Amino acid sequence: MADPNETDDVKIFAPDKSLLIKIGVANLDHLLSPQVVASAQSVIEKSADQFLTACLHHLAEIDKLRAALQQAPTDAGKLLSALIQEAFEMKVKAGMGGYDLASALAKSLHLYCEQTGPDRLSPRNFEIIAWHVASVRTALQQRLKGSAGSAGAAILLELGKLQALWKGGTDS
Amino acid sequence: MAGTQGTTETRGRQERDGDGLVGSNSQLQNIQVLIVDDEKMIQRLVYDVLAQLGFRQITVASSGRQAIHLVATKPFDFVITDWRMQDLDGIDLVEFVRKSPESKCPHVPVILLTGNSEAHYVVRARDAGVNEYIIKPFAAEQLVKRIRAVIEKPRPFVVTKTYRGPDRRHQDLPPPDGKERRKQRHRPEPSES
Repeated sequence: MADPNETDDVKIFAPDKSLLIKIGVANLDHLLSPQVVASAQSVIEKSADQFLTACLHHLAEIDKLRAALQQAPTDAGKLLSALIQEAFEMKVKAGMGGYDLASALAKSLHLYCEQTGPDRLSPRNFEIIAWHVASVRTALQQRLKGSAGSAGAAILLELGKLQALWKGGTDS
Repeated sequence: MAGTQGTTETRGRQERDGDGLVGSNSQLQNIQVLIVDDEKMIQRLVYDVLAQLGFRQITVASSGRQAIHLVATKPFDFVITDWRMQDLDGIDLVEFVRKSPESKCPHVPVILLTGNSEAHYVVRARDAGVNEYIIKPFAAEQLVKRIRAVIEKPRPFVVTKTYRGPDRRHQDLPPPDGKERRKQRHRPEPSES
């Protein structure tokens, strides 16, 4: 790293070119060609089934946590945090597997539970969580990839109606 | 990927030569990369994608604490880290890397690979000294774009009383013409990067 250009309390170091020097080329067009990038993308695509399995596992955990929360336990905050984390992981993994619809539904569940909080859980909240679980299960079991055509559009339409209700304060 | 937790695994030439995409003399093979993620599937996926791109010196840490131990032990050329981790999160790790006297690589480029997609997370990461931000789920092309950014367009490194990290000003603006330069001369100078 070069000597800093120092003014008052701000030090600015020149850009570190050591990585370029180590690689020995000025740009990486040749090393990271479109073919190489495509081969790396195929590694992601080949993992779709593993991500599907992992998502089904997260889904089962979410359903267990929902059932536990419905018993009005004293550790509702902890259980809801766990559910939020499971939904977050499911969002990522469904998306990595190419199950965009399931990923969108998991994201919606994650945000919904974050906004709801453990102290205000009502039967309607549990219905909405259960609806998400059922919808994600459908999307995954039918292996609906991408936005999933008309089936996906129907699910997203229903999701939109639910979101409009809870964002309007009716269900939070 | 057995045996790669916190250790460096060098992949054999045969495996890479077999696919005919990257030569055995890939210049990327000596680049020291650290992957930090406590989620095994993502950890493995990032490892496999990097290996497919031609990187060979890949170290994997399964937790923020393990990563802290590693960056206090040896320098890396760049780091790819998750944000949400059980013991110590990705932002804590970046702050350790940037500010701790124990860090062996305070200026190392850090790419944050996270499912946190809201804007306030991006701002938080930038202010912690993260170089590049990728939202999961990601495509190989996005990862490559960010890796190329830290290699081909390294940014100046700024140290102030409150911030240590890459220059946060936008890098890709075209140079101003004469009229624009005159306008800029009349603007107040930023107090910090």
